[in-house]
Amino acid sequence: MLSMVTGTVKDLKPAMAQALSVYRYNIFVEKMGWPLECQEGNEQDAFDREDTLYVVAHDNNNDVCGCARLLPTHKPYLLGEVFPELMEGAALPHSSDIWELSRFALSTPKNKVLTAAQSWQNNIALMSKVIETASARGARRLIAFSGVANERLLKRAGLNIHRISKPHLIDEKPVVAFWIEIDNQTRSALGLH
Amino acid sequence: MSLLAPDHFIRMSYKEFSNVAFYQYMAWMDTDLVEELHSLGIEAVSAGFCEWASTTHLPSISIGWTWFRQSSIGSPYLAPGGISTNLMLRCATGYDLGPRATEELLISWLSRQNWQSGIPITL
Repeated sequence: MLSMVTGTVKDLKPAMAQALSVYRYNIFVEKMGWPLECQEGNEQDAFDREDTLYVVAHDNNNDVCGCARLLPTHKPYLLGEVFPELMEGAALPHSSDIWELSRFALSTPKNKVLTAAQSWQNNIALMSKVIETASARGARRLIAFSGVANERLLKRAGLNIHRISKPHLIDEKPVVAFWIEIDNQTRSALGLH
Repeated sequence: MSLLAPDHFIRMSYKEFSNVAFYQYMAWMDTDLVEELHSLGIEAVSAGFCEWASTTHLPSISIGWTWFRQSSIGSPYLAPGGISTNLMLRCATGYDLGPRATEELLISWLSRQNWQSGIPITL
């Protein structure tokens, strides 16, 4: 069973904030091979600001095993600043009620073996917390970009999502920008009320 | 005629859509998908993703789906998971048909397209 903490970097305990940075390095740089410019062992970028919201999943030992980052689109955000080509010319959102979801990852807790169903439940739990956290800050929709397989998984889970344009290759992997509507369909799919 | 709304759906009627030319934009294999299909009881030997895009329009009309083969030389089938798209079909009076009806019509349309010939083959 995963536990979740949410908030800005000031809301997270310093040890948890540090563990999140290390986890992100392990996942996004070492495991996924993203060519991110960051200090070795700690992944942070210009979008990790004082007002950035995080969702962190951890196990009973407080070892981080999942994360997500939320940024309001009326301030600079990753898709708008770094990957606008994924929009193929469509207008980028700039609104306090549209938030960007990035750095979404979930892994198996240390020394655990999960069935496919348990992994699926953990994914749903993390996404549920993301939706709850963003919604509590006034978000009506999320914009995200991710591998095509992740887009499909969210669609299979029943969330109300749709892509914005065709996928583009980033670091030789097909990546697509898509909307996640925070509406009854998405809430119902995630068991939120 | 298409109309790009703030939700970024490209809207048009099925008749208009039927006149749009598409090309295979990407197709690739995915071993995780094979495992997922096995968990669903589908004896897939290979599986992956296929992406078509319109030759006109910007942003492109994008249609993506998953496929699987039950033998290395067999014809690929559509895999569960539906169609991913940025298209919203409209009725004759201009109202949205909704995501589900749009997807059903796209699956029907896809069944008449020769998409299988562009799928990678494993040997």
